[in-house]
Amino acid sequence: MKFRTYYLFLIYCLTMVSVFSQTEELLHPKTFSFALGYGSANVIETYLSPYKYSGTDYRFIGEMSTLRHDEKLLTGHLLDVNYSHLSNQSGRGLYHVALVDYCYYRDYQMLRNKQWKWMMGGATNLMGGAIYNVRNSNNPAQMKAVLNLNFTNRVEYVFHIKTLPIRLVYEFRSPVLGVGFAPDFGESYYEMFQLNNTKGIVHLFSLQNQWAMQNKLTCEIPWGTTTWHIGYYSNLYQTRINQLETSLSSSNFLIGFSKDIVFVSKKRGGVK
Amino acid sequence: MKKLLFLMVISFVFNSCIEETKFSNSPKDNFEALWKIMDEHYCFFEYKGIDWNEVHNRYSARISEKMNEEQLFGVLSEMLAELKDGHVNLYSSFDVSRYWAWYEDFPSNFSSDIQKNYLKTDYQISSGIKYKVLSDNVGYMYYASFEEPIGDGNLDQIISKFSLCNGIIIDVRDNGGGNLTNVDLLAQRFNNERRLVGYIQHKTGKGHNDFSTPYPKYLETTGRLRYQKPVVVLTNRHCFSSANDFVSVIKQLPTVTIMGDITGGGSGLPISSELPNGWSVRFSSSPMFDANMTQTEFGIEPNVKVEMTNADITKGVDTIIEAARNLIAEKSKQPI
Repeated sequence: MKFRTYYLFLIYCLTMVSVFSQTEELLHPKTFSFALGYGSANVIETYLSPYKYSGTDYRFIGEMSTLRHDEKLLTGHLLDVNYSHLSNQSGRGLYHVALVDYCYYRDYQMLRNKQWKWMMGGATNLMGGAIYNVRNSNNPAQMKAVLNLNFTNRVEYVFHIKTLPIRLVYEFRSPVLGVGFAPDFGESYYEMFQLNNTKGIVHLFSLQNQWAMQNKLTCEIPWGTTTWHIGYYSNLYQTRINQLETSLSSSNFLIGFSKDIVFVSKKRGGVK
Repeated sequence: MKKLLFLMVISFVFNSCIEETKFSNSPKDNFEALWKIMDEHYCFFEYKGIDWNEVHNRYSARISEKMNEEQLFGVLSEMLAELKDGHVNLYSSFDVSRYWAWYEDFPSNFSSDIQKNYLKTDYQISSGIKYKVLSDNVGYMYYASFEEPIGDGNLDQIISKFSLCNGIIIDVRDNGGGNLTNVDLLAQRFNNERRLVGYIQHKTGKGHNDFSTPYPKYLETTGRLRYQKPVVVLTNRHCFSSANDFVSVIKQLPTVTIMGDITGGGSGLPISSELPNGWSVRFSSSPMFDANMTQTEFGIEPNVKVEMTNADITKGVDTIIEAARNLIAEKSKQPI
């Protein structure tokens, strides 16, 4: 029963991501948003060290989203670039962590009233990067590469301060199935990529070995033709594969802005 | 939908929560952390017949909460020396533990002062390789460390210079290792076909015998300049790690003779980890074997055993170089 429910859920996610609307020509303006994040991060990567590394996290998030004319479908592309500079408890070790995450999402409206809006959907994301330990010998880094299918949620709440409309947006994303790279317990990159022993380095990721979630809460304040964003972003990504454990967690304060841009097709008599 | 959310929450609760290994920075916890790292990752316990639990019992009795950093370092270093492995080192801010008995307890069979009598001052250097054509038309090249990067351009120059020689001496004595990719780059210049030269394994789990299926290592050939005449590789006890691997690989080639003393070994590919106090530890993790699946951790026997004699040393003569020159002279008289 448990697995049946799980697979039904996967089919739901696939449907959410893969079904493309036939009403693209009636789309609303595209919204471009950019945000910079600053915060803290904690990393456990047992391929490199048994211990937790903590430090500063920097983040850039760029997003392009489109709301369909009836406002029942939100689609978007998101690029999340992240760098962390971390040290261990003794202060004698140093990690550099660099990750890039591209995500395509489709959220469908589930509920709506004057103030509230709830959307739910699916997303695919491709994450890649590396954790680099500056003093290790033949295991200096651990690569990350994973393609995931995600469950997404988005809740919006609009309120006014005097006449100024302010929107609170909560976004949640969590992977349910994916495929990605992971070395064997003691396998060196020399063996994998110099000697080409790539057997068994690609794994199926599910809720049995990968747990991740991204939560973002932003407050959107319009100012002229620009909307300013202030928010909080938390990211948790954990895997346990081949007795190797990875835990990446970060919390960021976000500040950014967004603008709506209308693209008019030449075919419809306009200019681009 | 409620069931679905319940399922997700349950999955998170029971499967997630990866937490840091809990060790404090006390001498006892640092000792236990080091012992555990080695217990789970070191690859030669069974081959060397080491009872690691017994080692734990013996050394844990010497750990006291009152000992200072240097005293702790001393005990941990002694414990690691039980592994008799030159790839095992403990790094602190004030010292590096090491096990060097694999060459310190044996005759050197190499003298850089005597080597100068052969290289003189007019030798050439291409990347990290010193090379020269000796008076009897034998090419001599000395590669002191596989850390020194070599490129195809460097090797083209050297092979081209030696193309008219009767043979080449490749001297890797006192070469303590370095980058394994340099091993293949150099060995390819003497190899005419894709050839099985060894195997590698890695740990698949925390048990002492949790190893992967041996994966074959092949030496490819190169389309650039290759040397076809006799080659003599000079070795001593200080040929370690990548230099040991080089000897293991090139020993498979039909034109190559290994001459000198047994190599120092060091066939485990080392990786690193660390202790709660920040000390770093390096250790053998993936065992490498020769083409016959034989361990080379304790060295490789030469084809021709030659040691430097005191009489020659007194005269400033390198017995092993002379023996190699004689061998090349003999081989050059034989029909190809």
